[in-house]
Amino acid sequence: MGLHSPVFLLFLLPVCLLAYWLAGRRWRNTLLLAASLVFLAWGQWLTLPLMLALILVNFKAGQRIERLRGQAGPAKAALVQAVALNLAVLAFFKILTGYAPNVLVSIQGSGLAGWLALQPGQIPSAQQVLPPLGLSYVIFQLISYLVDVYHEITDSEKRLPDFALYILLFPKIVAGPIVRYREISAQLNEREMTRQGTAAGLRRFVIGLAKKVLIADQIARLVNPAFGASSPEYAPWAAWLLVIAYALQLYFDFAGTIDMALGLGQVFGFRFPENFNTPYIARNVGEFWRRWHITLSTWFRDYVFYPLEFTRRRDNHLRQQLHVVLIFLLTGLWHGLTPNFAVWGLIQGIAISLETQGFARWLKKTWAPFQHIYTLLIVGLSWAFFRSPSLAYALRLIGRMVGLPGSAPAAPLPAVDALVWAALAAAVLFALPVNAALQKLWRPLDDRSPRLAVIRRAATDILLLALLAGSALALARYGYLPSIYSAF
Amino acid sequence: MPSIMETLTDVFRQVFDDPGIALEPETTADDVEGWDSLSHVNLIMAVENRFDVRFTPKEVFGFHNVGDLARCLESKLG
Repeated sequence: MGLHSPVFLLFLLPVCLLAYWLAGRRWRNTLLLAASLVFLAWGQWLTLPLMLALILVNFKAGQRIERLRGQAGPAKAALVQAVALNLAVLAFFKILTGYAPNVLVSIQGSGLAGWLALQPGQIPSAQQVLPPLGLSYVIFQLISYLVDVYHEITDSEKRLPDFALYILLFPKIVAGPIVRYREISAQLNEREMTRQGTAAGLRRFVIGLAKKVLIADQIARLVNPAFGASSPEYAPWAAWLLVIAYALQLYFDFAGTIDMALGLGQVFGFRFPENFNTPYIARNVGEFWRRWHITLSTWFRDYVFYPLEFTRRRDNHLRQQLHVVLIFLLTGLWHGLTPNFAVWGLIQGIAISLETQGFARWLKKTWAPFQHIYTLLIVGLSWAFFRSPSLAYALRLIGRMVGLPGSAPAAPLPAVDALVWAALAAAVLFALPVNAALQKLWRPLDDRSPRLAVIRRAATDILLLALLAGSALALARYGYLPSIYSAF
Repeated sequence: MPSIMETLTDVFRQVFDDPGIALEPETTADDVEGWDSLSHVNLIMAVENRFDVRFTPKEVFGFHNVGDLARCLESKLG
């Protein structure tokens, strides 16, 4: 299920909201856990036993690590065992879904196929076969929990239902954010639910829905068929347009899904960490990564980069640079164990490594637009690898961008209607910090005239209702496209 | 003998190669040019070497500003 799927919007969400408001404080967590189990199991029911097994094993492991505190060797052994098990489960499904379609063909019809939501008779390809919903996010949350318990940054959770709720909470199961136990443990038992909070959460949900359905999914009508061609034989301008369109589609797809997640979290009284901060305005790749998928990059920083760095305890410049490249290679492979994701990660790592060796300092002294062009160029070219079905495909696409002759006459881009071009224009506009600028503009106006503030707020809500209606119409007209990051 | 803040300021100036850095307890990574994940590691190690102490991961995770760092040093050296 997705946060913008019709069955969620029309059935599970209204039922859950109503029951949540009617239920007493005591039953709210049970209700949310039940809703999360339904959400997870919908259409992929075999994901449920896998997740419950992971939760049980890690719940026990956390308590065991806590009991062994003070005994350095056994505590570390318990941590390593549990983390290795989690990584093995993740790697198993990543290999199965992303890298071994032949294996998938052979398991069709068997019980294992149910895990992957394979329909009988469906011929799987890497694009069609999805890993269990939320697995990559769940595993990373579990590892952060175990490491934090080991380092005594947090104590283990003593109530299994609360631990299960932390892991499975449905707003964040689709595409994150990756929430650490210590960020949310207090909220599991004590959270404020106010009318203002609920209203703000619903507003954010609608904004996220509109980003996903009215912007990303409209751009998808250009990008998906274009990347579906067997070879990207486009004219140079069209190849550029395609990569730019994909960069915008991916951002609005992911950030929209995260807005929906954070908004729903807020409706139920949770505060999840932010995952984006207008990434495309960054002036270098390092800054881009402080603005893009923040909960993943800080996870790698805290649980891989810092441990690697602090064990060396000596200033070794080369080793630090190698660690940076390694971290981004791993970040790439988190998305899938394919050469394309590896190359995508290496591009980020090498760029950031060069930036830390004085390039960023030099760049900072240059003309500001040049800094933006450099960042967008590196990030944009890396998206070509991220989106293409193979390395050869990505290289051919980049070849067409720089004007290398194609092996066939240039093909036209798929024909699309005006709505797609309007979505692209809106995407360019809203990739800029427009919201912050508007807030800055009307805050003094609101202060000066309370009556104007009421009108402004009413107008905003009418606009949001229009966006909700537009999103519903677009979903009905163009169908449901899962969130891109739900496939990782 | 220089205070902890004075010695910290000296370490910061060396790590970030900026003699103009002036530290307050409220100073965070946002206030110091070039204070990112990489230089953070170098900074923590430089502080450890200068004060001859070792921070635990729990302590490092707890540093949200210069004041946290100074208080932790104070309790370690005290």
